[in-house]
Amino acid sequence: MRRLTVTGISHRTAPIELRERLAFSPREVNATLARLVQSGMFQECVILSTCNRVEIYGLSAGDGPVADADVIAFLAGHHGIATDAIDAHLYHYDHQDAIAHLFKVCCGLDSMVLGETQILAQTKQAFAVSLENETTGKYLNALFQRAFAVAKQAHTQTAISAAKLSVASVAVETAGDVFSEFSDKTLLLIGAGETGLLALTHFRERGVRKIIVTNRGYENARAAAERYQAAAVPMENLRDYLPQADIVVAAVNAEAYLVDPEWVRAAMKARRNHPVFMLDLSVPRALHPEIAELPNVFLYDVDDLQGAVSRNIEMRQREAELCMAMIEDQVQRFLSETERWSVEPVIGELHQRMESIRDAEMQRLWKRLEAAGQIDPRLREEIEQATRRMTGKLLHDPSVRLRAAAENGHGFQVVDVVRRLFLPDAPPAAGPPGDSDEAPRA
Amino acid sequence: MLTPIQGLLLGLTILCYSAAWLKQTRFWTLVLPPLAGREVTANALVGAGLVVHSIFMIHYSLTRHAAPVNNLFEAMIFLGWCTVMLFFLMQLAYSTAWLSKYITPILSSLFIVAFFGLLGQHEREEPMQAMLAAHIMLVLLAVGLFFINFITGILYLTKEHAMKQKSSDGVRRRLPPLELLDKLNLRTLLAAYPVLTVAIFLGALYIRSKPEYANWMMDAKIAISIGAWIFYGVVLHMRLNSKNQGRVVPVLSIIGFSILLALFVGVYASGSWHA
Repeated sequence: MRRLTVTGISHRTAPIELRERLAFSPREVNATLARLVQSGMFQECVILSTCNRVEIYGLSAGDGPVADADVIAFLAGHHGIATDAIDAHLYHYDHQDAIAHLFKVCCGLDSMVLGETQILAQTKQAFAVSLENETTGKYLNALFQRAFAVAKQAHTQTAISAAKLSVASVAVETAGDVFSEFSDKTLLLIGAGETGLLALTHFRERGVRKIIVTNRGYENARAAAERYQAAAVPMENLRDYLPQADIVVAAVNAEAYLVDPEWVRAAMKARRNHPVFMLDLSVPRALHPEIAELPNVFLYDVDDLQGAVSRNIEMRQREAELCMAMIEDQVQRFLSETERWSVEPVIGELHQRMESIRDAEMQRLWKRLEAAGQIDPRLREEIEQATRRMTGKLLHDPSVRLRAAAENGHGFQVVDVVRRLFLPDAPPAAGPPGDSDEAPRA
Repeated sequence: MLTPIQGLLLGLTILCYSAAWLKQTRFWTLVLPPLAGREVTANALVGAGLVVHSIFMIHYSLTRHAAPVNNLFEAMIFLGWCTVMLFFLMQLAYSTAWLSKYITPILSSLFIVAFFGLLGQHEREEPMQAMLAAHIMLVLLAVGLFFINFITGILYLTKEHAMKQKSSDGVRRRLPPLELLDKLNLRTLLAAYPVLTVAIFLGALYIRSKPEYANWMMDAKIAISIGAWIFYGVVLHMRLNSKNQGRVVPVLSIIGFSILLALFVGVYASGSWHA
C-alpha cells in the first residue's frame, strides 16, 4: 500500500545555519523533484523550501512508506552534509500525521508567527512548481487542493490571522480606529531611525502619502525623506509642522519630552479640532503623556501597543485550538475519500464485466431472433435499456457497500474478496489513491 | 383593524426584523447553524423584511385610500419603513452593514409595541388632507434620519471613550472608525434638518388654512417642535463650524433626539388636536 510521508526541518527543530544549508534554490527544486521521482523513491512529490522550513512531501512509489533514512540520506547527499549532522533535526511523519502536518503548515499553525498567511502562498508556489514538473498525480493534487481549502476555511472562519502581532502593525490598526481613510492624511515622523522608518513603512502600505520627516541630524531626515518621497524639516521647526499632522509618530532617543501639551493644544486650535493620532515609540517617551487628555487627540505609547500585541497573541492561540479541531475533522474526511478511491477501479471492473456478459448474451439473443424473423428496432432498444438497468441495479448496492467498507478502512480486504469471487482473471489489487494515472491535474 | 393578509404581512415583517436582530446575537448560533457571515445574513433578513414591509404599506394604504400616518400605530410602522430605507441607502453609500446590529433591536421592539399595543387606537374618521399627510410623512422621515444620527452619536461616544481608555475589548474592535462615525453623524444631520424644515413649513401652511386652530402658536407641541428645530439648527451650525468636531456634537445629537422622541410619542399619546 502506497503511503504519504513528509520529511523536513523547520524553525522548530533546526537553527537558521542548518536551514540555510538544506534549503533548495528554485532551480535546484526542479532538478531534485525529477531525481526523486526518477530514482523510484516517490511516485509523486512536492518540495517546500522557505526560510523557515525545508520539507519533502512524497507518495511512495512502492508498497509501504518511504523510510526516513532514505530521505535523510538523499538530503545529506544532495547538500553534501554528513547524515549525523542533520539526523537529529529532521522530522518524519507518515500518512495521517503527514496530512495533518501539511494542513497545519498551510494554516500557519506551524509558523514562527502563529497564523501568518505567507506560508500558504509559499506552499501554493511549491505545489505549482511540482505541477509544472509533472511530479504530482491524483493523490498530491487532491491533498494540496484540500490543504489550501482547509487553510482558507481556517483564515475565514476563525480569527487566527486577524489580530496583528507586531507593534508597528498594531499601531497602524489602532490608527484605523480613528481614521477610515489614510490617503488624505499627513504623517509627521519624529526620528528617522530604524523603528520610526518601520512604522512609516506600515503607514505607507495603509495608504498614507503625505509624509514629513524630522530628525535631530537633518541629513538623516533628508535621506529618509528621499527614500520615502517625503518632506524633510529641521527639528527646530517641529512645532510649526504639528498643525498639519493627522498622524504623529515619534521614535527618537530623547532625554526630555520633545512635544508638550501646549504645543498640541495650539496645533489643535490651528487645525480646527480635527482628530490626531499620536504614536510614541520612544523609550523614554518623547511625547508628553498629558497630551492624551486633550480632546480629539489619541496618544498611544509602546506599553499601550505591547499590551494589545500580547492580547492578540493570546487570541491567536485560542483560535489555533479551533483550527486544530477543524484540521482533525478534515484529515479524517480526506482519509475517507482517498480510501474510497481504492475501490473505484474494482467497481469499474465489475460494471465492465457485467456489461460484457450482458452484451454477449444480448448478441446471442438477437442472432436467434433475427434468424426467426425481423425484430422491431424500438422493441430491441427497449430490451437493451431494460437489461442495462437491471445490471446497474444489481451492482448499485454492492458498489455502495464497497465504498462504505473503504471509508471504514476495510477497502482492501473487501476488494480482494470481490476480485476472488467475481473477477478471478483480473490482476491483483494495487495500492491506494495515487495508483491511478487517470488523475485530473489541479 | 387589519385584514388577514395585512396581519400576515405585518407578522412576517416583524419576524424578519426580529430574526435579523437575533442573527447578530450569540442566541442564533445556539439554536441554528451559521448560514453565512453574521452581517450578511442579518442584512438579507432586513432586506426581506423591507420587501414584505413595503408590500404591507402599499396594501394597507390602498385598502384605506389614505397615507399610512393616521395614528400612532401607522406612524410607527411608517417610521420603521423610513429607517430601514435609510439604512439601505447608507449601506450603498458608506458600506455600513454593521449598522444593522444597532437598528434591528430597536426596530423589532418598535414593531412589536405597535402591533400589540397600538393597533386600532386613535382611529381617525375623516380623510386626511394631502398637505397634512405630507407634513406627517416628512416629520417621520426626519425622525428616521435623526434616529440614525442619534445611533451614530452614541457609537461615536462609545468608541471615543474606548480609544481614550486604550481599551482593546470587542466593543472598540467591532465599531467603525471615529472618522466614519463623525461623517455619518454630520451627513444625517445635514439631510434631516432640511426635511424637518420643510415638514414644519407644510404644517404651518396647513394650520393657517384651518380657522378652528387659530391659536396654534400656543400649542405646546408646536412650541417644542420649533424649539427642536432651533436646537438642531444650532447643532448643525456648531458642527459645520468644525471647531466642535469631536464629542460635543454627538452629545447634542443624543439630547436632540431625546427631545424628538418625547415629542413624537407625546403628540400621539396626549390625544390633543395635534395628534
